[in-house]
Amino acid sequence: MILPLAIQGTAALGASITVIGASLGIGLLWMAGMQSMARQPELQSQIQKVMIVGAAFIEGAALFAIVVCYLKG
Amino acid sequence: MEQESQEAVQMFINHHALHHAGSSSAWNVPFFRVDALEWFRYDAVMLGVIVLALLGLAVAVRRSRGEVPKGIAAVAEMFVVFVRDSIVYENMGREVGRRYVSFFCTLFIFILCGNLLGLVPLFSTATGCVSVTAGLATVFVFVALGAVAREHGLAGFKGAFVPQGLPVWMTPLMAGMEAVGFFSRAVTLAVRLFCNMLAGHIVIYALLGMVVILGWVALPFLAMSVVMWFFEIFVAFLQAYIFTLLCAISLNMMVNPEH
Repeated sequence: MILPLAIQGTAALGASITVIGASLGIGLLWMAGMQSMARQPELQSQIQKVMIVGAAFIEGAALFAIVVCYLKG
Repeated sequence: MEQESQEAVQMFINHHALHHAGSSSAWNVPFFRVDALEWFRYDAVMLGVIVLALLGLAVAVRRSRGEVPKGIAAVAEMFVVFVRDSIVYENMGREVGRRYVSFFCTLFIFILCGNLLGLVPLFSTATGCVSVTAGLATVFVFVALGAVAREHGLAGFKGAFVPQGLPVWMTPLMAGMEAVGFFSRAVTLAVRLFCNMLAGHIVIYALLGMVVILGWVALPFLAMSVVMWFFEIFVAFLQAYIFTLLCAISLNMMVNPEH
């Protein structure tokens, strides 16, 4: 009785930790991107492209973990 | 909420939100429950719907084509020019990129159509099924290997899988590592698209599930799920763009290894 609850709780905890990490990563990425765009507005399109690709990588890694949590929870 | 109506709402949400995302053999026909064959999933039907929609689009674009594109042809031209200029030419160069513009346009518009049709009520997200995205990634693997053979012949595989200026004894080691990296890139492409489309629908499902659990108190969550739905439209465009962009970058690394 207690084991499924424990597994579900651990899965929810894992999902929330994943979201903390992913949001931290994307936040840092956009912070750096904003700063460099403010310094060099003429490179805006290139910086934005790199930012979106980087965010996609972070998001991909986070979604792997969230799906594992979802399947176990 | 009373027990019966609660169960009815729960069934409705199960039917229309979660089956929206996952692969289910029960089809979303209003007022009926159609149990199809075990292997003939709703995603297979959705693939057919996408193909029909794209064929219709092709005919419509062909009809309205002219010196100056008007109507739907102008919209189609906007997408094609976007894929050509900001994805293919920018990453692969004009010379090599020319030959793969059609492939990347097909990929982009197919994924975009699948993502957007998944947001229409009664339809299911074909790209939210891992088999469909794995199929797309497999197509990309074969196109990439074929492109290397086409551009440089069989010798091109050495350039694609072995970095230049490497001592001879390290060649098999690096070739193995690069091959593993290539296939893991394809797997990541498939899983990223699948996870993104599934995750959005699960969030909408969870928000609607609040209404089932808490009753009328949770009505704000309904508004929140509508907001998520609009966010999903943005994600649909973004994921189609990212899938195509990463395919182009990866193909460029195979075809032009010196860059």
